[in-house]
Amino acid sequence: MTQPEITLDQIRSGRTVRVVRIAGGWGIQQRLNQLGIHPADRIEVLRNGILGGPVLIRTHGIDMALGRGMARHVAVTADASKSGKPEADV
Amino acid sequence: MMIPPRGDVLTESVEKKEKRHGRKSGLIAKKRTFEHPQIVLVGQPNCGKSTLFNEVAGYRSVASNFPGATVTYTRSHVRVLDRTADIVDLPGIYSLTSLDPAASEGQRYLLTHRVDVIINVVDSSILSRGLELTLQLLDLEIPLVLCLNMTDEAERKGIRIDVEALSRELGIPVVATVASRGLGVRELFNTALSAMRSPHPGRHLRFSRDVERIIGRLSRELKEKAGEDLPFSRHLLATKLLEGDAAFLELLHERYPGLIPRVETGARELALSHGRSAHEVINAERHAISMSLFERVAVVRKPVLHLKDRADSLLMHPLWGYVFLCLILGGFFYLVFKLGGLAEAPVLSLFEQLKTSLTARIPSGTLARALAGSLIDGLAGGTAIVLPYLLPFLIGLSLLEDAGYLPRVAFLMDTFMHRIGLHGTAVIPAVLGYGCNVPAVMATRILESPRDRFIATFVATLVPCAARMTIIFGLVGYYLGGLAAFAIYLINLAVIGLSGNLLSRLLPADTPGMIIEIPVYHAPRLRSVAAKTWFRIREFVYIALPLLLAGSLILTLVDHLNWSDLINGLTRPVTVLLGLPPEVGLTLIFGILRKELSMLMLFQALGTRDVISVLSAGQIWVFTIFVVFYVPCLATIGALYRQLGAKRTLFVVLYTFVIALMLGLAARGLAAVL
Repeated sequence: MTQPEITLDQIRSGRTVRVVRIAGGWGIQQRLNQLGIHPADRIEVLRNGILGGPVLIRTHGIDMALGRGMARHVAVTADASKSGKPEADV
Repeated sequence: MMIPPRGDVLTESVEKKEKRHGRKSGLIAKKRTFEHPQIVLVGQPNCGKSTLFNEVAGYRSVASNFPGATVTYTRSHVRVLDRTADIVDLPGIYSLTSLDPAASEGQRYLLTHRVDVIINVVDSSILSRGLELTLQLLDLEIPLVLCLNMTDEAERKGIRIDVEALSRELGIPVVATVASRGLGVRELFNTALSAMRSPHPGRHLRFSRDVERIIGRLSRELKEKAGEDLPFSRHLLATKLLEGDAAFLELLHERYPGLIPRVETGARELALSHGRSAHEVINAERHAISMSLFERVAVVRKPVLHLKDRADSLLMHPLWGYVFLCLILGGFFYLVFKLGGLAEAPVLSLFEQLKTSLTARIPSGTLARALAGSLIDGLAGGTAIVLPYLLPFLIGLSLLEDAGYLPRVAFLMDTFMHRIGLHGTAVIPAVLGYGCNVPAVMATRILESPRDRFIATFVATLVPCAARMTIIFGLVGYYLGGLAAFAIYLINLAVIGLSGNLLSRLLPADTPGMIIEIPVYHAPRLRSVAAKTWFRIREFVYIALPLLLAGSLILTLVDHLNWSDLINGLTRPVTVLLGLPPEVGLTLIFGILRKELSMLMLFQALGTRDVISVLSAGQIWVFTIFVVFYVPCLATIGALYRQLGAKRTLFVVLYTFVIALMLGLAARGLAAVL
């Protein structure tokens, strides 16, 4: 991919995106993985942009709020046209 | 103020024992026997473990509706189906990797204590994620039963799970339950007790071949070096080492440092062949297995939308969310204030009648009469002035907690919390602090970084707890009006903001940022709310009331022996500085024992409950401000000591004292001007 990376904090409310990768160290990757955010997962952005506050997302039927700092670690692609199946390791 | 629940006391003693034998034994499992079985509940945060635990153990564990409510484990000795057993409620963990204090505690428990059977509680409505923990628990090779909890919630979301198929796939018993209604609970424990003897620890769901090859190699190397010295699954150990788990790496470092390079080689190989780091590879594999397993055993249809699914469009709205936040919290405090005030006067007059009719029989001027009078006054203070505010407050707090509103508050407040160098999650301990600072201090464990925990703990102790609320309402609210009481809360918020800001400047750090799950709203259940309220109020009844009565008697004796001047002389510097009568000094000392005592002993010290006849409005104002801020109560100091250690606890104590003096002086100045 040559185009600049989009991160989760830049996605407008109501859009669905797919995770490309999780940037950051061991702790951040582990934490996001454990809560259910992995590369290739679909994420629906429910709310974003309240006073520069957290991003409210839904993934695997779980609602969670990610602080902006956290959301910046999640690189996503706006293309969510593929089916919901995870491609574990491509 | 509350003393931590019984379970924590137990935890303490267990932890201490571990420390004593500690270090050397490291992560070594205990032998299993079937007498007096040890049943351990394990699950991800907010999956309903504590609800399930309470269902069998009676209400001992505080179940709430926010992730991470249980921060330490609770053990209960129960009779299950005519057998005595110990049931242990572990804090919620997402995985067996030690990432935060709760997870480390859970991991350590499972690896170092005797565990006869694990009940893995899963929130069925988010089964695919829950299975990721199940896969790791299977690797422990301890008898395992899967509890599909909250099946009603799953149904509502349109998820139907084939229990038998899941049981076949995992090779372990699976029981569907709705713990909040007690459904399936009996069957679950029945199954657990028989699974305990089962020779089949379940199927291992393996990763893809190349990953397993590397895990297998490391596992063999572990066997060569350690032999049977590692009593838990080598597969699990090898996997966790490749994942870079700090606790397991430390164990290896201590015992077999020669194996560290082998782990590094394996992790490098995985990273090279997959183009991402080893822990990402393993997490992705585990995720993929869980997802495909979920698809094999569950059918997902269209969810049935309820009112509660739409509530968030208002309650988390960029504008209305804040309006409702103010309305809900403001309305809550207003209601407590009104209800308390309504009950206060009639109950007080009841005690007044009791006092006159009782003391009339004892000759006046004797010590006996003075003692009897002070006993009734003490009782009156506790039941007529503290309870009317405490009870509705604690009920309201339980309602907000159980409904699941607190994580929403965290979401809304995140931006503001960043101003004081914290993130939204830190709001939860702060809100709990309005009930009692002790659980608030303990709840700061839901934060990941030690620095955040320190600042949040500090903030939580500044929050006026319910005991201090009774002083604010009972003195300032009662004599100076609701607006003045409200002003104290505003001053307090400003002090919290400034102190937090100051502290975060002193301890600059990049906070890792907030991640908090927003749970589905639950209608609070009467039983749970009642139990939780009782759980919290019994500390007042059992600890504060006796202390209060003893305090009243001591004060009368001190008065009788003419010692009060001596004691009040010690506190003179403070009382003179604040322009308060010297008799008040003694009450400030009592206030450190328990906050509400400083008001109640004030009545005793002044010899009247009609404070306004002795103190000026300005003095009441100064006294209350000082009492709200100065030095946390003993129970909180104890919790602080455990959480922060001696040095930082001393810092908090001194800081709050200085702040209280400064604010007291400012209040005195303000009162003089007005």
